[in-house]
Amino acid sequence: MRLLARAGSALITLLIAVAVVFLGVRALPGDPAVALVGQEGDPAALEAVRRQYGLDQPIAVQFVKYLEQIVTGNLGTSVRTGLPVSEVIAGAIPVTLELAVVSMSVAVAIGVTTGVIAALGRGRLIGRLVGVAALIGLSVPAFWLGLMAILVFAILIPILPASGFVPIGDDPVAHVTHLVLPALVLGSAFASVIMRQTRAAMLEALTTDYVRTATAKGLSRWQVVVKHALRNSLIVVVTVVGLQLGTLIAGAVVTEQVFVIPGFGKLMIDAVTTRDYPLIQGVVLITATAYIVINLLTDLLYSVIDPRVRVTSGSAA
Amino acid sequence: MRSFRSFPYGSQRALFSILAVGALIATGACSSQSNTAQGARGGTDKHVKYAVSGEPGQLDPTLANTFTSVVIFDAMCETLYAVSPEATMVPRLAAGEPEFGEDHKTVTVKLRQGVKFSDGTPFNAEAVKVSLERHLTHPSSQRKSELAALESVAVVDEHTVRLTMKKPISPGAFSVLVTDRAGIVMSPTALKSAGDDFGNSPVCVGPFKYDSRAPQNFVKVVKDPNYYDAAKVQIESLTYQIIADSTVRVTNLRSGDIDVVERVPTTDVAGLDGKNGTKILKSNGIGFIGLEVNGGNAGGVGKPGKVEGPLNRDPRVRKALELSIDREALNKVVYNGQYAAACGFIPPGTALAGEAATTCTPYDPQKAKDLLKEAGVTAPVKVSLLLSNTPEFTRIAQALKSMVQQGGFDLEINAQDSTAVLAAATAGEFQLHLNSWSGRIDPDANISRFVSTGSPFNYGNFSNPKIDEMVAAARSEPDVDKRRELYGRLTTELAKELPMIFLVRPSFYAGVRDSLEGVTTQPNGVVDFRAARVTGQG
Repeated sequence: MRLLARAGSALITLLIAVAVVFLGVRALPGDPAVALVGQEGDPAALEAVRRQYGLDQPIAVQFVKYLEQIVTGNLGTSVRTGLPVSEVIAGAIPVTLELAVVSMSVAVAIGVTTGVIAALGRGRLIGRLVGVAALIGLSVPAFWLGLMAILVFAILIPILPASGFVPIGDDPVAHVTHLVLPALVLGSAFASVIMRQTRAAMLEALTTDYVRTATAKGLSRWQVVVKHALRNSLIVVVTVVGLQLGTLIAGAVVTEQVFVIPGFGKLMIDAVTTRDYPLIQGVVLITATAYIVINLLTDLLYSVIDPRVRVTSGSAA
Repeated sequence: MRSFRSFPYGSQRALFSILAVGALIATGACSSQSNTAQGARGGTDKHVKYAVSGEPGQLDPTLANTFTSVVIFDAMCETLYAVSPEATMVPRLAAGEPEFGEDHKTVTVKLRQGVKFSDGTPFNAEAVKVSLERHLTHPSSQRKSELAALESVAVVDEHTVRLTMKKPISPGAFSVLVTDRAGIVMSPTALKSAGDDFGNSPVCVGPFKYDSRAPQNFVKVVKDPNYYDAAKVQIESLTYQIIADSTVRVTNLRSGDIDVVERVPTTDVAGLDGKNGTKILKSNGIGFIGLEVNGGNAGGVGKPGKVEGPLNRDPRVRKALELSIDREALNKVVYNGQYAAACGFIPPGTALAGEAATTCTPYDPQKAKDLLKEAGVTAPVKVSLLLSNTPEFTRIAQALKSMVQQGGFDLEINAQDSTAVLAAATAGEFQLHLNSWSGRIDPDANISRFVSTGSPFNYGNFSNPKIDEMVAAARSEPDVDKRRELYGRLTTELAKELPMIFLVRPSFYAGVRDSLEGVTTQPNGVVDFRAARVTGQG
């Protein structure tokens, strides 16, 4: 029942997102037909393009038609390339998802480890060093970091490729080597966020009664930290990961541009700059869906980790 | 460890959901592979990677409208005539120079014999007729204005076509018509079977043929064994990698992941020329960057209206603005001196460039102030400049703002997204518009569209019957010497009215790995790979 209600509200959110984007892109200055035909184009062709994509019809009519289309799973045709939007997006999403998951894995591994170290080493040199590293990770723009990474690892010490994406089926080793730099660059900022959250949660957990009890029971330091303090701190990490996964896709925009990765982020930028209405709408629809689904999953994951959430939601239901 | 079953039912579902997402990602990572670019280092095994700055859009010669499409068509869709590095017309699918009828209303073109399209269809006069007629009649054709002068196409024999024009056409104007995408000949067999989907797998005559593409990512062409000069083509495949950011393009060239990059920023030219295993190829452009003045567009192109402001009212104010601009300094500040100053629409050094057509108004801010006084205008004169918010145009605008201050102008920079700029320019929402034009090999195509009354690209709605007459006379004059003189007079007349203030003439710099030889460039910056070969050095 609770799930059904959540799914209903998610659907409404999605509909609002679709309407906002539909109207939003049309409120932008610049005609997609002009963007398509270009400065050196033909005025007659401009009219033909408007007719072809229904841009000459009232916005209400265009919106109803678009809703009809998406209900049947048809996201329209890209104005720029003439290819089906669903096909274009389907080609880009897996690339970004893979990049996002690998980057997030890197970020979680680095962030949680350094977060625990920073909490345990509070007030000591190691704690301060980790804090400074996190600050740098947060402050350095991804674009600059990406270019520096290329400069160091592809030009000065040429051990990794500078750009591109190799299909795993073509060459598994090249597939991995092409992901190393983008994943590190994209993951670095998120590692800093996770580190700071882990540190704060750990510091709080280490002062709680159950941790004191666990220590008093004679458990080893390792058991107290990992099994009791860290486990309870992980709920914060899971929340951050859930929220950041969406942000990570947005962050992929820059990383994909720098490393020429044919993913969803690059697609978004290209769609907006070329005023490709159907593509922009398709991209936003998918992004909104992804956000809603990830938030839903994060909510559900709470109950796995924290029994209190499970009890509360159980009694509420 | 707790067993999975010890989790409550809702949590099990959550775990299932996570596992499902994981599985989806894993499946997706595998399924995405079919349409992603190969990222292997370039310059190996005769497979060349060429970084281009934008998505080509539709690869249908009738519907194509981007510069990147021109770049790609050069490798796989040959035109009847091509542009030489010296900006002259040379036969390509045609067998020789065009033969003009006495009245210059008919043009006979003899075609190469023994030529085949990449699908094996014979190339002949009928194919030329089918292609030109498609360009003319397709409802969404982007070639209609380019072919506006063409009335009909007739097949004379298997290898000869006769084009009938609506009005007499000069050899120069004809050269513009047949060297761009309107001159591309498409396979009639492929057109018949693919129809409007022709662009998804274009079939033409060229050293390379279409292989695959991933939107916003790459287009790959491979050597065409059916090409008439296939024996000379040494590159096996050519991948056009779309990299929008110039810094990223250059970085990839340095690392060797890319073999050739187009449009190297002028700030990077020195760093790539003869260093890091790279070299620079320069081509002198035939286009220009200039300031278009809104003289009469208050509600749309082609709808003359009254525009307020001293700049539009008095040519002396426009002259003062021109006198306030130091073109050489602009070139140095914005382009490291790698471009050239542009003083008119005819590039110096070309056949029709006489002295009058290339004379420059010298930088003289004092004279500008005097002229403003003479015109009865109080300095500083506020002028708004509409421009696309690219880093390059923004730098030009900033340099101009500082320069024209000395001449008594206060320039307000109105930078917007390029599509918004086009919309604003079309609607007449500007005083000055920073415009760029890639250029054509005939001067008429570089001026008539901007100053002729009623031209859809005359954003300022400039209209002057005398200039209209002069443009028409110069366009249809067949004699080169007389034409040169006519263009000189036209330039002098335009300098009085100043509907456009020319600023700089771009040069194109392509960055090439040393391992690649035989690459040449055209005046529009297109890189030609017909004679390219990979040496494996550098």
